[in-house]
Parts: sequence; structure tokens; C-alpha cells
Amino acid sequence: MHILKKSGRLSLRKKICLMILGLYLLTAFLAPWIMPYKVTDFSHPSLEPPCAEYLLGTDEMGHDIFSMLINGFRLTVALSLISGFLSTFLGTFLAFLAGYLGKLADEILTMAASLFLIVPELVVIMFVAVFARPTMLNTVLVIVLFSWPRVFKITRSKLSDCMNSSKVRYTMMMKGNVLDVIRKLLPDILPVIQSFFILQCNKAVMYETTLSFFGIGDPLAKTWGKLIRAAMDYEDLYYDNTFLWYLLPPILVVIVFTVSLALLVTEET
Amino acid sequence: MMHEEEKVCTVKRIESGKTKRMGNQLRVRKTGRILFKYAVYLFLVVLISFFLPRMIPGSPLSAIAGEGSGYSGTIPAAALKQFEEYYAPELPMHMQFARYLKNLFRLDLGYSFFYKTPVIDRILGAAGWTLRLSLTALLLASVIGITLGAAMALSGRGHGAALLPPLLAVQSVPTFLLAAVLQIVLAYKLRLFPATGAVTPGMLPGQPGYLADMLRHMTLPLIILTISEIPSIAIFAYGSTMKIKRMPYVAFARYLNISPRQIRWKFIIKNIMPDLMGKLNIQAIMCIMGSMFVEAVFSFPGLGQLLKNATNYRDYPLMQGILLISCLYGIGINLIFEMLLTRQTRVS
Repeated sequence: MHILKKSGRLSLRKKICLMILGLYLLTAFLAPWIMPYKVTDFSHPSLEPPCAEYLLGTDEMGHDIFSMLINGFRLTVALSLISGFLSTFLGTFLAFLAGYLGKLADEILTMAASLFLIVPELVVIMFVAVFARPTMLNTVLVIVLFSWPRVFKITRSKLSDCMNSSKVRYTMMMKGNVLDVIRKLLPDILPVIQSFFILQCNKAVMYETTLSFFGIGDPLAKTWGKLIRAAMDYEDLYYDNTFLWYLLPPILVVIVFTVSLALLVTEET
Repeated sequence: MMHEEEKVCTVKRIESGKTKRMGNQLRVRKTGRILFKYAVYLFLVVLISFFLPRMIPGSPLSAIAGEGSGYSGTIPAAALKQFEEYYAPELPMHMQFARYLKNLFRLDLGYSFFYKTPVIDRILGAAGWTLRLSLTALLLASVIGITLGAAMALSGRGHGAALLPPLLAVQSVPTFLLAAVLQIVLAYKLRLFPATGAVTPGMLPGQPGYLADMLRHMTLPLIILTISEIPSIAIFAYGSTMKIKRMPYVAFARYLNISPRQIRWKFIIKNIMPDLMGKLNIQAIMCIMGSMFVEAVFSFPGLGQLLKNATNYRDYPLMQGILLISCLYGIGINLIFEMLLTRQTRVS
């Protein structure tokens, strides 16, 4: 594994992860054509077991579970990518700001980041999300707003190493503007940012799923988390085998997604 | 990162031949600085818990203060009265804040809509369960995780690294999903453990068999929480053992023909401990969150159950109470660990 990494090629593990993630993306893009029924359509008989017509059966309201699961791909994958990108961007941007401005700005930002790292972040996220209006956008905003400190902390320490490198010093000395400095720094910190982006996507799914499980967020946007919650709220779930097609598919979809993301990141050591 | 720098700094200063008194003075100054830092953190948390709900557009606190709040329907009238009495949205902001601080000092966290009791009573009643569950799990996971991680790193020809992907995989699964899956399999289907609650309904403390019943209910949540905490501790222990293993002094010890056993224990294992302390610090906070999620799945009467009801029934005062108590816990744990670390460096 290590040898492969060094030679710049992807290990088998990463190839598989990439393939799985590619499938997820594809499903998300093609969701409107894959879904046999509309998500809002609850005209079906309720609590059907899986059959040719309803691949994963129907829920107690008469929604087709398979259609909702596929629709969840669109919502959750999009949410994951957007919040992953934004929180990585925000963390890196602030880290750069702290490094560039130095002194007071650096101290304040570092302090804020440390504070969010020592309090249980998900409780803070939930707290804010409960008070905010339940929309998808707010969920993304809350996740982004409270998950940048991890990115900030590592990128900041990485940056402070790079800031002292001769090429950056030289650029500063030549009175290069911010963009010049960024251009010089980028190649050094890009690998870190890359792995953080994947990690943050992973975290975003974990956060959203957990928030949904606690009944927070847009009740109409049927993400995987919402499906899991709906299944767990159904009282006779464990009475027969209903959980097999109601609860397990969304759980598996989430787990495969988060695990593939996690295994894609190069672990140092 | 900061710990490291400060540590190195102290060690250097102490080693540079100053008298012991100087070291002591330094320690007092440092302790003061740490205490001040955490006081600021605490104040920031109080600020956040006060201002955020009032600033977020569409939040009930900003809505109730305004005209025609749509919340009178969703919140019972009696609770709404309590709510208004506690938050006093008609007062100007600084008065509200002064009032909030005064209430906090009197440990008055408001009145829960859902439970219809003071929030502080609920939280104190639930915190014991959560602490018991999470600290036991943390202890178990630390012992297993550190042993596993160190063993992986010290195994011959790097075979231990093969365990990393499965650990990473377990680590990336949200704790409550792990709990949900294991609950289905072990409790509902195989019926090895009770599926919900902390005791069988109707059992009272002191009744014969109460303790056994409690332990039986606690086993599965404890196992799940321990499993979910092991990977990150093990991965971290693996990383720091690998780092220490490559240190020149370990190689030198080999040249000196010191027995491998001694190298392993005195040179490697002993030296990963300070690193691990920092990790356990973070893990203690992760563990309390994990504990809440497991509790919510198992309807275990800890803070997780409160959190679930608070979010389900939009019980704002309870939510705020849980935020404050868990932040207080996080700050407290960090303070303890940081103090321990300063102490340790002084002794060495």
C-alpha cells in the first residue's frame, strides 16, 4: 500500500472507493430517471412488502420507499458536497487570513477555533439548528458555520510552516499582493485541503443524518437521515421483517457512503 | 499544538539551571493564564447561548418579541407564560442579558416545556446516567484502543497496518447508526439484551435484582459506545507509537543491546503517554456526544433522551440547558487535562 502511494498510483482500496463514490454521484444525477414514482406521490397501498412494482415496499403513508431512497441520493450527496466544499473553503480562507494578517486576527481566530474544538460540536450544531427555520439551506449553513475549526487548526499550522519558506518570503519582500502569495502557497497546502474536503463531506453526512435522527431540519426534504428517522418512528418496525426493507436500506446507503469517503483519505503515518 | 510549545518552553526554562522557586513562580503564572483562558471560553459559551437564539431569524425568541408570533399554537399557554417570564423578551437586550446571568448564577436554567419541571432538575437527574455510561466506555475503549494501536505498530514487518482500514471504516459510521444496527440484531432479533430503557419498567431502586437488571440494560449501550470509541484511540495510538519507534534514541537503545522487552515498555510505550493524554482529552468530549446518541436510540434516561425530547418538542429552555451543561463539561475536561499536562512537565 505504501509503495503504491509513493509511486503516485492509487491502491486497490482507493480505486474501489472511487468507483463506489462515482456510482453515488451517477445515481444522484440520474435520480429523476431512476425513480419509478414521484417522492410526493402517496397514492400507493401502505406497508406493501417489496415486489416488482415497489422494489423496497411502501411506508405507512403509501410512499414508495425505493423512490424516496433514490431521491435521498440527490439531496444527501448534494448536501455533503456543498457543505464539505464550503466548510473546507471557509476554514482554509480563515487560516490564510490568520496567517497573512497575523497578530490580533490570528489570536482571535485561533481562540474561536479552539473553543469550538473543545465543546461538543454536534450539540452546538443542534442547538442552532433547532432555533433556525427548518430549511435545507439553514442545515447547510449551520454545518458549515460550526465545522470549519478543524480545517482551520490543521491548515493554519501547515501554513505557518509554508509562510516561512523562502519563496513566500521572497514574494512578500517583492511586495507581491495577496494573490501572488496564495499562488505560491497553493501547491504546498493543496494535498491537505484535498483530504480535508473529503473528510468534511464525510462529516457533513454524519451531521445531517444525526440532525435528522433528532428530528431537526426540513421535514419535507427526505434525506437518508429523514428516512431512517421515519422508519424508526414506525412502531411495528421490528414486529415482522419490515425493518429489512424500510430501515436497513437507508442505513446501508449512509454507511457505504461514509466508509468509502473515509477510506479514500490518505492516512498519514 | 499549543500544549507542545508551552511544554517545551517550560522544560527549557526549568532545565536552564534556574532555582526551584523560579519554577514554582512560573507554574503559578502559567496556571493563572490557563484559568483565565478557560474563564474567557466559559464567558463566550454563555454569550453564544444567549445571543444566538435571539439573533437567528425565525427563531421563537425573536418571533415572540415581535408582533403576532405564530408560536402560541405550538407552545401551551402555561409554558408560554413561564417562557416569557424567564426570557422576558420585552426588556431591552442588556437587561435581558443581566437577567440571564443572574439566573445562571442561581442555577435557574428555565422551565422545560416538555417535562414541565425546572430544566436544572432534569439535567442533574440525567447527567449521572450519561457520565456513568460514557466514562466507563471511555475507560474500556482507552485500554483496548491503546493496547491495540501499540500492538499494531509494534507488530513485525508492519502487519498491524492491515487493521487500519477496518478501524477507519468503523470510525466513519455515525454512532447512532451503529447503535441502531446492533439494536436490531442483538436486541430485537437475537434477544440477547433488553432493547430499551435503563431498567425494566416497574423496577424500583433497592428492590432485589435491581442492580443486575440495571447492568443488563447497560451492557449493550456500553458495548456499542466502546466499539465506536475504540477506532480513533487505536489509530492515534498507532500513529504516535510509529513516531516514537522511529526516534533515534530507540535505535540507539538497540545498539546498546537493551532487551527488546525493555525498549518496548520503557522506551516506547512510556513515551506515547503524553501524546495520548491530549487525545483522551478530545475523546472524553466525543464520548459524551456518542453517549447521547446511543442513549437516544436506546431510550436510556440520560442526557441523550433529554436531547431527543428537547429537539422533538422544540423545548428551547431544555435545549439551552443541555448546550450549557455539555459545553461546561467540555471546558472542564479540557481544563483538567491541561492542568495535568503542566503538572507533569514540571515534575519531569
